[in-house]
This record gives sequence, C-alpha cells and structure tokens, in this order.
Amino acid sequence: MKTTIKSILGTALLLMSSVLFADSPKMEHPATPEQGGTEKSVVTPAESQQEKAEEKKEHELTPEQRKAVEQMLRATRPAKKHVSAELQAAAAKLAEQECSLCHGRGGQSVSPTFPRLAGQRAAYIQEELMEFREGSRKDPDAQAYMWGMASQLNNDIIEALGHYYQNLNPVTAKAEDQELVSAGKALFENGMPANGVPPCQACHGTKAQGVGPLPRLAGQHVAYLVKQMSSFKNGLRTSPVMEPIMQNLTSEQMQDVANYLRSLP
Amino acid sequence: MKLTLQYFSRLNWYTRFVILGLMLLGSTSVYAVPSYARQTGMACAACHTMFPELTPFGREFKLNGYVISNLKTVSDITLAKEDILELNQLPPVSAMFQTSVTTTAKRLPDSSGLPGAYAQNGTVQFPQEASLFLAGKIAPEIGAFIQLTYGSADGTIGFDNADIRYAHNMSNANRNLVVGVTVNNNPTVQDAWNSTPAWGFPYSGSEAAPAPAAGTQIDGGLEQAVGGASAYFWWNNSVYGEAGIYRTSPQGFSNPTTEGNGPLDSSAEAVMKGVAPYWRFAYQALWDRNSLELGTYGMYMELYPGGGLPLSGPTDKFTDVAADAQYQYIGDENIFTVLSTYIHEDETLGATYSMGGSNAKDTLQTLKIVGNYYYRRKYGLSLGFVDTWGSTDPLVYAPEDVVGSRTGSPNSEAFVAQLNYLPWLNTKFVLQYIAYAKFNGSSSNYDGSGRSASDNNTLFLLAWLNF
Repeated sequence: MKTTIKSILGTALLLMSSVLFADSPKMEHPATPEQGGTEKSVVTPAESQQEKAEEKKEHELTPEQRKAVEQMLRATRPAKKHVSAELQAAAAKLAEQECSLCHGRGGQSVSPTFPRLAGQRAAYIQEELMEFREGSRKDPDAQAYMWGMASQLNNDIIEALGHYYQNLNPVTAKAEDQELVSAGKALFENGMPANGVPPCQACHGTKAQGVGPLPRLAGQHVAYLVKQMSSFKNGLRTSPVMEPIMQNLTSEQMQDVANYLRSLP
Repeated sequence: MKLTLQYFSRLNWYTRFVILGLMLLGSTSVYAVPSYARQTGMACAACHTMFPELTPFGREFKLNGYVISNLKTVSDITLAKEDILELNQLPPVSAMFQTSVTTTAKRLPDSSGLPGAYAQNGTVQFPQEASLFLAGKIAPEIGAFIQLTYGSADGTIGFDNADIRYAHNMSNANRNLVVGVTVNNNPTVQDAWNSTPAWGFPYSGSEAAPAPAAGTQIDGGLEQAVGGASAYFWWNNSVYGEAGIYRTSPQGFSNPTTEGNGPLDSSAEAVMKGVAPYWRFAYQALWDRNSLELGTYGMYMELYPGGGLPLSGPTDKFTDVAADAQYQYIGDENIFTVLSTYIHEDETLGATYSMGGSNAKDTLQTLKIVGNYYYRRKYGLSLGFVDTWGSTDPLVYAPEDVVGSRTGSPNSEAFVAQLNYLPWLNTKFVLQYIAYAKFNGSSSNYDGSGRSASDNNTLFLLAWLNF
C-alpha cells in the first residue's frame, strides 16, 4: 500500500512512524485507501507499539537533520494507491525473469554488488527506480546496471515492483563478527551525538526495518551497506540527510554498523 | 587467422591440419560487443570483467538469448491482440578495429627458401582485423551474435563467428529455468564460460608469428567451417546442459557443377560423414563475490579427407573429450579469475593411414591455464600456460622450416604474459609476450633446420577498439 505526498508532508515530523506508510512487509496484498483523505492502514498491535517507540527517536535528530529529512521526504514522489492484479503479475514476471538475474530468486542476491530486495520498502524501491530512470542517482553501480534497466519502466510497473519485493520474506540474519556487531549496535542505537551522528534507528526503525521511503537495512549485505555509506560520504550518492552524517563516520565504524545490520532479521 | 578454402584446397590434408594448429594461439575471433551495451543501457562492466571475459550476469544475458533490452521498440499487434513485432529502435550494430605490431625473437627465414634471406621483423598490421557485428535482440525470445570480419591476411571480408539463439525463460518464484536452442558455426562459441576454446585465453594473438602446429578439432579446428544446432537448459543459475549436432558448412567453397556453395563433393576438404554430436555440461556455484564453474564438453566426428578423394570409404575419426574449470572473484576494485581446460583427443585415422599419411591411431592433449588480475577494470595482468602433447607421428608432424617438427612430436609448451590497459572500457591496449619452452617437439632445432623454440618467442602489441 502506498501513501500520498500530501499525507507524508502533513506528518513529516512523524516520519519515523510506519503508520504513515502502511506498506508493511507483512501485508500480503496492497490495500486500497480511500481517495483524498486519511488513509486506511492495517496496523497490528505490535506495530503500533513499535511506532510509539520510534516516535520518541525523532528527538534524537538535530533541528538541521530534521529539516533535511523533511526536505528529503518532500522530494519523495507519491505512490499510486492501487496495483491491479494484471500489474502485479507483470511485475512478478519481470522480477523473476530479469531482476532476479542479479538480485536473486526471491530477492535474495548472492553477490554484495547487488542489494537484497526481499522485504525492502515499496516506497523506497519506487523512489530509487525513478531516480535510476532519470539518472539522478549516480553511484557507479547505479550507472552501470540500473540506469539501463530502469530506463523504460513506467510508473505503474515501478509501483508494482515495489510491492512485489516488499511482500517477499526478508533475508535471514547472519552475525559474522560478534565484536563488530556489538560496536555497530551501539552506533545504530545511540549514534554519536557529539559528532552530529544521530542513531540510525531514528529514521530506519528500531529494527532497521525501514520506514516509508526510508530503506530497510536489516539483513543487507555488509559490503553493499559499506559501499553505500562510502558513496554518501564521498558524494557519489547524494542525500541531504545521509551525506553530512556520513562525513563523521570512519570506514571502521561503517563496517561495525553494517555488520550489526546484517545480523538483524 | 583466416584462410580461404581456395587456399586450403591447394594444401594436402595434413598441411591443412598443421595450419589449423597454427590458429591455436593466433585465433582471435573473440570480442565484446557495444551494441549489447546500447541495447541494455548497461555498461560493459555489467557483462564483462574485462572484455571478452563474461561475468555471471554476462552469462545470464547470453543464455537468455541476448534479448534483455531496455530500448524503445517498434511494435505491431493483430486484432486478436497477438504481438507480432518488437523491434528495437536502435539497430544492433557495432564495430571493432584491431591494429598490431609483432616481433619474434629471431626473424623467420624467407618463405622462398633463398639462402640467407629473411622475412622482416616488426610486422605492422593495420588493421589486424576489422569487424562489423550484428548483435542484439531480433524478437522477444530470439537474439543474435553475428560477426563479419575483414582480415588483412585474406584481404577480404569473411563470415566470422555466429551464434543465433532462441531462449525461453521459464523462471518463477520457485526456480530459475531457461531453455533454448542455438544455431552457430563454431563449437563452443555458444558457451557462456571463458574456459572453453572459442572465447578462451589469450583472446587475441599475433597473426604474424609462428604458433605450434598441433591442435585438437574442438579447439579452433572447426571454426566457421561447420553449422550446428543444439538445445540447452540452464537451471537455477547453476546447472547447464547442452546437446547438439554439427555438419560441415565451409565458407568460400564452390561446387564446380552448381557453382554454388554446395553440395559438398570430393573438391571439398575435411567433410563430416553425417553429423558430429556435441555435448556440454557445467555446474556453477555462486557465493558472495565468487563464482566457480566445473564442466565437461566434447565432440565426436568422422571426417572424409576430400581434396580429390571421394566422400565415401574410410574416414578419420576424432573423439574430443574435455574438462574445464573457471573461478572468478569480482570485487569492486580487484578482480581475480582463473580459467582452465584440458582436452583429450583420440584420433583413429583410418582414411589418412590408408593413404600412408599417418599412424593408424594418435592422441593429442592440450592443457590451458591462465590467471588474470584486473584492477578497477582498467589495468590487467595475465599469466598463462598452454601445454600440448601427443603421439609422435612423423607423417603428420613432418620436418619443415619453422612450422614442422624434426622429431614428429606435436609437443609444445608456451608461457604467456600479458598486460592490459583500458583507458576506457571499450578500448584495450595489450602487450603480450609468449615464451616457448618447447615447440613442435623440441627446445632446440625443433624443425630440423636449426630453429630453436625460443626463437619463436613473440612480443605483440595490440590496440583493440570496440564502438
């Protein structure tokens, strides 16, 4: 299920709450919201509890960071409300016959060059595919692979692809190096306030499950995550939020937090 | 190296065999194709570690029939809503240009046999080869790789490698499965790994330097001289199986009666009796940034010598059985690959033996192994070893200046070192050095005319442009 830009902006400061983006990975079928007003959301009690916990995390952002997040969300394009059965089938075929060549069967890629997409947020996939299509996401792998692959996708199929991947079961967690995982956990949960690094969980969710158009990070390839963080740091990938934060993270800290994220289910 | 059949037909059966052997290291019909990049919108690096070596995705692109396309199309549909046309708006055309300089450690003697006369050293070939490719999607499940090449040695344009295929993707949520059919003119040109001959190391080599005489049939001995079809499946990105048949389909042959390209008769050479079966099985494992392939391939064929002899009676039978292995580590900056194949050929030379031209039975083996390191896909270092050994047969490997063998042995050992520099992904500069420890049977005086194996050591500089 998607949300509108109107509803995103209307609740920008509650961005951490997934109630705004009820495209929960647990939902089997996208719901159809009512037109023009508030959306119907399917929120479980567990999710509701988590949302409350995450709302508190907003305070861990500086006013500048909050403004940047707001700005980023403002630039996020609204998703359509309904994915027809025909589009769902077309997206499944595309994903299973072409996307899977790199992103793996069931969105479980093998090579860390390619992100795992199983359980990824539909809104995030949509946003990235649109950026690939228009060439505004410029990191090397985006150019080499995705500019071409996304070039002929229309908005409908992009939307449907987002739903397809969101509805796949997320990856299995794996803790490769417990020492790094522990160090990463501390960074993820607490950030480094003195250095202007907020807790990652403030935006990406307490379990790194992603929120709205902000990506799920749990279970992702370590090397992929480190590469994305480095790309934000050196400007190969742009984001008003991530670029300034990553300036204050060392390569070792990126490894730590990536290892922790990989260990999350 | 390209030879026209008219030229071939002036040679006796085994001289032709020897010249085919010369193609072993000099075989160069191995290219990457920018029209695929234009069709997919993806950079060369998606399909190649360093062209022409394929990445796992490159293999997928090939086995899926070259049809993955991200171009706008010209389409048509019937009233019954059947799609009847899906043509890319960009023609699938690419070009390749190669120019080279070759120096051998010792000059070759003048081919006229003039005493004390030598050929020039430092051969410039401009071009060495120039190719036009028609490579890309033809229809939703049909794609092609077709190459036309101008070779300086021929002075003309010839039909080079071709692989036209139909592939049907049957993947779903629970499995990945592609089934397909390929028609092609060079056994292993349809293969997706670079450990098999057609797309194997060293990818490009000098055509102005001598190369060892002996080579197995499947290792370049049939390229562009056969036509074949095979069916294949590719299951879960890990198991590949293929079976097919080939039949002689020479280029440049003209039947004296029809003045057309057939039927083949005694005026043709090396004509297959019936069809030659071909098989290929491979297993691929992928983990993290690594891929490992283990496989086998082979062919069986019966050949009439032809060349004035009727296409009946005894034949020469060749059974090629090969194993191959390939390992790739593809990092963001560092790439390591190892490619290797071992080919064993049993030759039951009934026809040639009955003419007094060979032993009744020979064997021939080739082992190739190469390690490649690429940095940022810009700089590359390759170290390879090619070993060929087999039965001593003085009638097949007779003494002859430079290309012959004093001992009748086909044994050769070559070490290859190569530096690659790619300022752009579609432009490659190659500096290659080949050192021979053994050439056509010996280290010294291998040809019976006093030439040493190391005299053939070759320094080769190549500029290779694809656009």
